[in-house]
Amino acid sequence: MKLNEKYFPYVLLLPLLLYILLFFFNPFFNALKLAFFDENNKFTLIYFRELLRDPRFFSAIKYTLMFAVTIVPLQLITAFLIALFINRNFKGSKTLLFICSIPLAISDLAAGLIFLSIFTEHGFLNSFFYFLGLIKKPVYFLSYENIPLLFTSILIAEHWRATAIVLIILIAGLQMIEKDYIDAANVFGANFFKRIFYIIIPLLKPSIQSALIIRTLFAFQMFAVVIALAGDMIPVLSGETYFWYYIYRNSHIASCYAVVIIILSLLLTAIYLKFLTYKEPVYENI
Amino acid sequence: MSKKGVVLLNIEKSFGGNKVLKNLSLEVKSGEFLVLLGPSGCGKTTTLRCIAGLEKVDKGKIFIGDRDVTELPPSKRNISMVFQNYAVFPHMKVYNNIAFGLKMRKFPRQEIDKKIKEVSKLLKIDNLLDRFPSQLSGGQKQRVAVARALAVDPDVLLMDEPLSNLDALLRAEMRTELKKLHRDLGTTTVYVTHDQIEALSLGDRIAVMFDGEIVQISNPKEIYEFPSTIKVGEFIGIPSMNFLKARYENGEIFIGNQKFELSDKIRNEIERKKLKEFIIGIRAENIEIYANKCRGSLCSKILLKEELGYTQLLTLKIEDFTIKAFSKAEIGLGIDNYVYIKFREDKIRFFDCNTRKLIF
Amino acid sequence: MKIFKKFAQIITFTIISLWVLLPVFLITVSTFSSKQEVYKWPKNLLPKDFSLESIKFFFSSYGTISSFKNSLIVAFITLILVLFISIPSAYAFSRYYFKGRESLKIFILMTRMLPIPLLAVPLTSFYITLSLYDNLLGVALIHTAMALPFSIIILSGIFIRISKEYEEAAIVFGASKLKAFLKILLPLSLPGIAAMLIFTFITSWNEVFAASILTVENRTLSAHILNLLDASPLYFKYAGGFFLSVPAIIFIFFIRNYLMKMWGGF
Repeated sequence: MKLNEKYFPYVLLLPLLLYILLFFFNPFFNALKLAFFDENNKFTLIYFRELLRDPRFFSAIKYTLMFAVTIVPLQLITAFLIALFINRNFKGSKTLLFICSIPLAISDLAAGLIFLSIFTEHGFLNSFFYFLGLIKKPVYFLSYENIPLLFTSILIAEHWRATAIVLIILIAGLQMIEKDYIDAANVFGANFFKRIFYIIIPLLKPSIQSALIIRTLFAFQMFAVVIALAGDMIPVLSGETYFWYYIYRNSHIASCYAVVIIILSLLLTAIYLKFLTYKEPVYENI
Repeated sequence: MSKKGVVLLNIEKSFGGNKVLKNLSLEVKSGEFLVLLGPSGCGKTTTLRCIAGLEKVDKGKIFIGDRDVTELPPSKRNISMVFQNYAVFPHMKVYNNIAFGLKMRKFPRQEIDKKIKEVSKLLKIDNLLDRFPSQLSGGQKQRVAVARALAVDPDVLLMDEPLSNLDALLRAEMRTELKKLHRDLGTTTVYVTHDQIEALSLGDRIAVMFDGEIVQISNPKEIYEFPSTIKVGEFIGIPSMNFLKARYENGEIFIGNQKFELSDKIRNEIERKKLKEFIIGIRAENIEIYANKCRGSLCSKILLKEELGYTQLLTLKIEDFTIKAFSKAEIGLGIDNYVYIKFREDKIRFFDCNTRKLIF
Repeated sequence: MKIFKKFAQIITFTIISLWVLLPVFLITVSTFSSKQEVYKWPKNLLPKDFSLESIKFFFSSYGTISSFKNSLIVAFITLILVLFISIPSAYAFSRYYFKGRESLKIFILMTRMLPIPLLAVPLTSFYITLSLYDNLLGVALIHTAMALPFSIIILSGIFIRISKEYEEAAIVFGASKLKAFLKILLPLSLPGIAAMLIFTFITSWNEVFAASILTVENRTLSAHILNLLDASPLYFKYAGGFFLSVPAIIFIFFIRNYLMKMWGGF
């Protein structure tokens, strides 16, 4: 009877543990196996050597990192500003919060297609510029001839889609900050910007950190939005994984890409945790 | 109404290496209103939850009536409980809340109906049966919780700080009502509280708990007048009992440098018990205050005067000790003046310096 | 000053709303345009004609209807699986203290951080041996794996917020643990569970990488559209983007009040 009670939680967790075993550990180790072992189960680096010979590999790393380091900070700033605005609790702030959370429901593929209707040469942006009299002929935003423009288009689409989640995390964090702190800062004469930099941001650090980690990890998995807008013109790691498996039917190289994604993800998470871990700040001179 | 006593025998309970109940034994007589009183963290709620079966004891036995219920789940113990936050199910109407225990016991519908009418009238909530808890005030929820607990005719009724969430006025009202309910129904009740006024006014007996042990169990009057330890004396009564260190030298009692005159009867008792140093305990209302020196009085300085309306509370310094005393009449002396005090001899208690327990 | 503040507020509100809503509006306009209108340039910013041509084309193209159905089936199976795995797990996390609870919680969150490509590619061979390859159940299984971490964390949070006292009261009044769960905790957490399930639905509905890699014939809507991306005209893509978004947007409307609670734990 007593024994039963003690092991009961584990019994409840059994389906979950089984699931983790089958659908996380199993593929994880299989990926390593596919990347590092050949058909005869012998350790090999030939797949990685092949990977390194592929010029698209390095551009994939380059573009993936470029996306991560541009989108994530941009999202953080946008979300923070909107969160501050919504947190003023005016009439209609709830509505705005709902509006802003709509992209949360939209997949990266759908977001890509939505922005396709804006950026394509027959698209709305070109029409808009034409009406403003800025252009006579359509601009080719999504062409391999102008990669920076293409990159920016994808950036805008992904920024639009994935800012919502950062916003929700930040607002949840903001709501947990006791109003007393801000009132106190007010009483002691801190102005708006001082309140933000000395009170809100330090107290919001845990939320900022989790938003940052979640978003960065997902930025490494950017895939459908890139394919929808750029096809294979801009290689990214997840896209290459897809192509290697789907078109070239080479699960070894595809696994190598997947392994690279996880290594980069772990590396960046570790860096974030190292530099952003929330410690009680020591203020010596303000 | 069924009535059964509860017996706890050598109960031990720990949470993660932290011993919460240490070899605790307790007998609740059938039909009795027993209050478990103690500061937070003393184990009183754990004791109650062990009786309910919500916690399994590590060691010891629990009996309800003559049934050993130690290994039985709560549902088989025929107890009921009023929770601190009422635990009135928010998704059920008042009627269904009260009916819950009866339904679980598979009572026939008509009987449930009859029973609910009975208890809801008893607690004056018969007009609320159709409401959801969100439409009730705190006091009303409290009544529903009590009605639900009484509806099942429990052998033992357990109450876990049931009044702590009510405001002061409502609490006093509910206290009176609980007392009346118990007098009318006579259900064996175990009541947990940290509020001594509740304990003193409600309990047939009070069990005072510190650190997982019952240090004194007795009727309220006895606990107030004869605290078994200094800690009990400090914990019970507002203000706390005053304690002063005294010594017996050459047939005389001294507090600091002042001679303290006591009757031969007490002196003989001290002599007989061979006491050298001891602690005197006296309650604030048993101290008489005089403006002038008189026979057997001790000199003390007024540190503070607090007006309480019906009386004044003085904080006095006597030698190295600070004590509190009620002054029935205005003494006409202010702070830093000296007054003379006498202790009512039959109310003086003597405690051991080392064990801090009551000697006599 | 006050009027100025009010005015600034309205302007800010409008700009933010436009930023979010305009793209949704534009894809809607594009979807309800005729084929010619899609390729016309310059466009009218407000649609002149309203046409179901693109939508008809989209639904009449080979595989669209069945992929729509497949997406629903996959999402449905995922919901059931998530429900049956996450409820007992969340119950264990929120109602028991056991060894390794906190580390397990963190570990579960970490599993969500594993890149989908890392999970999907190696699963293909595993699926082939189990004949789950190109099988909707197989897709649902990996979607469940993706949805589980968040749904368990969300559900644990919901359970924790419901006081244990309610279940204890039920137990004291004669209910078994199971009955206390079914009669008290479950009904009290129903809105939260519904929100969690909607979130799971959206996760499954939107997922494209694993669904594309693990299926050939039995495609979900996302996989179907991705697969035809190279070969399809713009109006097909627009309609695809629109119909991928609409169900998810409708569903998120229902859980709008729950979003904060679900993500508050991070």
